[in-house]
Amino acid sequence: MKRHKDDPVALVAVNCHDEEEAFRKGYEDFEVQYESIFGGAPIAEAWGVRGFPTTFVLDEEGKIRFKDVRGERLDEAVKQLLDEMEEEESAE
Amino acid sequence: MLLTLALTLLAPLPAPTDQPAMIDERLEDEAAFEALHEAYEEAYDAWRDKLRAAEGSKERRELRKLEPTVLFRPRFEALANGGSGRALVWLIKKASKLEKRKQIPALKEEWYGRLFKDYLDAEWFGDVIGMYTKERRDVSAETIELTLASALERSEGDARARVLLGLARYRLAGKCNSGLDFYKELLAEHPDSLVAKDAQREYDLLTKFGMGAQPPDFQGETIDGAPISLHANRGKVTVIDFWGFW
Repeated sequence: MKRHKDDPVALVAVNCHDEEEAFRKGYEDFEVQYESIFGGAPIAEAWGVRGFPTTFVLDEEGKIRFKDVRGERLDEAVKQLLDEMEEEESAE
Repeated sequence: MLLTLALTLLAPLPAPTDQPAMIDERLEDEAAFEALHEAYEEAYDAWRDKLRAAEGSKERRELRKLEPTVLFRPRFEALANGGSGRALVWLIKKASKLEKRKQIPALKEEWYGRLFKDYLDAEWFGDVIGMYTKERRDVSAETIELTLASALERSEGDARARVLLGLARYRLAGKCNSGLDFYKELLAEHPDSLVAKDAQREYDLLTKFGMGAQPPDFQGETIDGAPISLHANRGKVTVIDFWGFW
């Protein structure tokens, strides 16, 4: 994600536990460096999330374009959507 | 074979005047089934524990001859022939333990045939539809389609809503978009049925959070109280990461 510092890419992390202690410990153990919504269990439920981790990638219009992509496939997904945005800009 | 099955399935459901007697019988059947099933579960657990504790292959061989599923079968069959639909379901579920592989498709066809003919309005029938639509190996896709279409035509009210839900899920599993149409029909025509709530939830998940959908906003706070909102990121490629840890 750090690669995309100058790109229009956002990360919204939703953590689904309610216990502050466990949450903070998890941050340490996993060396998490980004901000997360805390206590996001109701959001996960509304979104039909059944297990962790579950990832969605939305385009600039907020449409879901990819689901459950990680690692390389996540990078490719993000790149594809960024390319699409560029194409649209140059078409205008 | 197929024609016979289709003709059987086209027989109409019993007239309303038959209902009261049927309901009393049904309650008896349910009670008898519950009792037998409980006895079976206990016997099976006891047998399995013995098997685990057995020493030597000879003892294990002897024990295997006493597998409760085989021993209990005649009693479940008797219940099934006496009118218990749930006993039929038990037979289907245990088919692989009871029959040679070659015999199973024909037996399942018979058992499912009887279930769809006589038990369509049972409140547990949703489970049967779920089982049936997953029978890739023993029932042809064509037969499944035919059976469900016929069931749809013959049923009404809650029974029909259950068939619609089964069809919706079946189509979606086959990655067919017509699944959504079945959800819509269910919600439009049977909004008060017992399955409407499940159907609405599944439909919402698909339409609001499926591919190409624009999900609604959500908001939350970080542990330090800073606000985070999904829609605030419009105009950017947004990665949403749901995570938790144990």
